Amino acid sequence: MNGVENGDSISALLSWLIDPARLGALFRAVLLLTAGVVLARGARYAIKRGLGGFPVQQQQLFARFAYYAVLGLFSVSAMRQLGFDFAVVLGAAGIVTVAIGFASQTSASNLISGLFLVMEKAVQAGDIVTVDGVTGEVLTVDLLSTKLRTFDNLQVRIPNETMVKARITTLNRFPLRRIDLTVGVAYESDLELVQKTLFEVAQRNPLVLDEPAPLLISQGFGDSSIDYLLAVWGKSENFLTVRNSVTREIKEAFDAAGIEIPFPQRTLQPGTTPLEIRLLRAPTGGSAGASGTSPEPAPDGPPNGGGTISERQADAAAPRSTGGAGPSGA
Amino acid sequence: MLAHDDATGPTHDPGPTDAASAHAPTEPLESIWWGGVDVPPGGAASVRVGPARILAQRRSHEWRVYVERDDEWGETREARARRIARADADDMPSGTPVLRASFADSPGHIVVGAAQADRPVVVRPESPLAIQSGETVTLFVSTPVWIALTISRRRPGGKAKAKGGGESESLRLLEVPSERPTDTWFGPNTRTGELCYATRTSGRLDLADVPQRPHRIVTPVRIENKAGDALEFQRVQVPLPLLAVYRDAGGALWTNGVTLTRDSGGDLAAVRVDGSPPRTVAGGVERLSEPRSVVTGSAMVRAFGRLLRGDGMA
Repeated sequence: MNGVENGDSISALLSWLIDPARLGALFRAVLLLTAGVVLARGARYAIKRGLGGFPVQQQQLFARFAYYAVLGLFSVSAMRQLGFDFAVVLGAAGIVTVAIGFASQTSASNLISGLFLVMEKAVQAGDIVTVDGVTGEVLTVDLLSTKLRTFDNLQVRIPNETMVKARITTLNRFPLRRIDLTVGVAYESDLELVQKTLFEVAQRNPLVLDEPAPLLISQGFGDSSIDYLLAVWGKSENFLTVRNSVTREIKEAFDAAGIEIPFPQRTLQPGTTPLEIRLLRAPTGGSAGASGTSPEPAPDGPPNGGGTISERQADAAAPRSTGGAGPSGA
Repeated sequence: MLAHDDATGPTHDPGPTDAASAHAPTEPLESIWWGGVDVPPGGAASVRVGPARILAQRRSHEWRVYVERDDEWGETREARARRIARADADDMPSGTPVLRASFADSPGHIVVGAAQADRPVVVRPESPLAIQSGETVTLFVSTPVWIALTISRRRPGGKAKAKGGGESESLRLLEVPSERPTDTWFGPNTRTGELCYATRTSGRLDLADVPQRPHRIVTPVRIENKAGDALEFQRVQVPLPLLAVYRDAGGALWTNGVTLTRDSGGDLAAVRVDGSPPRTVAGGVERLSEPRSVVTGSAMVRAFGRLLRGDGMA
């Protein structure tokens, strides 16, 4: 039975298809679709050529828009040829649009943000930008997202909505960059010599621009050092080279001039009673008791030899805790 | 290193006797260091120009070029040069060559020439210079020479010849400055402008005061102030790539002159390059190299300027 039914349906389809009117409509629809594809590609090519002076992402955006618009129009026309009634479709489209609108509000937001990004030319392919703490080269600005390549060769996709809201720092927009180096010198340093040495380092480096002139700003008195900010200018593409070479040259120049770059220092105040510290010599052999310098205290008596520092600290602190005689208590 | 034309080195061409007494025998003072030499496979050639020493080694399938710089030269800035000559191939520096050019069969003739800087130079007088209205002065500016290395094949008859049997086939290997000048920026602010080289000048206005050194080129810059007000400038841009290099009878290097004419107030000037050898040089001159780029007529450029602030507020 099924074979008979299938045969009937196939023959019905064939008879429906071989209707000359339907065949003509089908032919026109295929023709329209083919023409639509060709024209859409032509429009895309023409827009890319016409916008040759524009940034690549703008060319791509407009070309893509034209492609789908032309293709859409021809598709609708082709479907009308096949007898689709778009009045019904448009009626249902209102309801569907509301549903899709709720479902795709994030995408729509990204889409509109992408348009603003492209029109504002906030970022362009090839820019080095920092967005939300991510630094990288802009690969593309697409309709929904912007793609960055970080310097450790990762691709980061940032939604365009975030790009519009975030603070974007473009590192290579201008041809020059200022390179700031903070350097601290010991409090004992001859500050005139320090300043002269830093300026000489900047002057000797051929990649440091003579103009704008290097700048030296005193940063004040730090915990362990007097701090300076040396700001030198260089070409943006030389940023890392200048930063690394000037740092090395400062160290070499300071070493040659005897200028100390200090480590953090802490001065410990032992309290009211001076802290007694005695250097102990480790036993070189034989019994510890024989040497008389064992750090181990005798089990029933005062610490043997010097004792440990912690014990001595406790001893030293004892008079203070009891309000005993001390310089401050006197 | 900021190029400075105030070196206290001796003037040019003291002669072989002076050279022998003032310098070590291996580093004679010669005013003419350019020229060509044939180098057999496995051989080498060297040339010294100021602080730079260039060694080129020929191998069967490649040329290797080494550049050495005398770090202590800055203390004395003596004017020393040594003409291109064959060198001991075993005397090559141990470091990495700055260039390796490979060939199926390496050409055997190497030529060292003098060339102009590849960017304009910004000259800063040590103190601001004022040119009164209606006055014309000629400022002599000294800049480092670029050393150009070219290799070619030589026919047995002596002329350079292409491998395929055609005319001369020469290949520019590289150009290096005898003394690397500091970069600088010339423009109204830090966003727009041009990358240049920096040099300082004492603003010599008298030719007799200009020291001639084999590693530097002197450019006569004629400034005409036709504006109604005095021109006081802290820096002036000299378009060196537009100028050719000449040598005078004594071997000193010159460029043709450049004239900056200021017709109205401001920093703009019409630049005109003299087509002939420098008028200030007496005697015969020989053209050593062509300009890197050519302009016809005169062009208005921002030639004068004041210093940019280093805090980036400009």
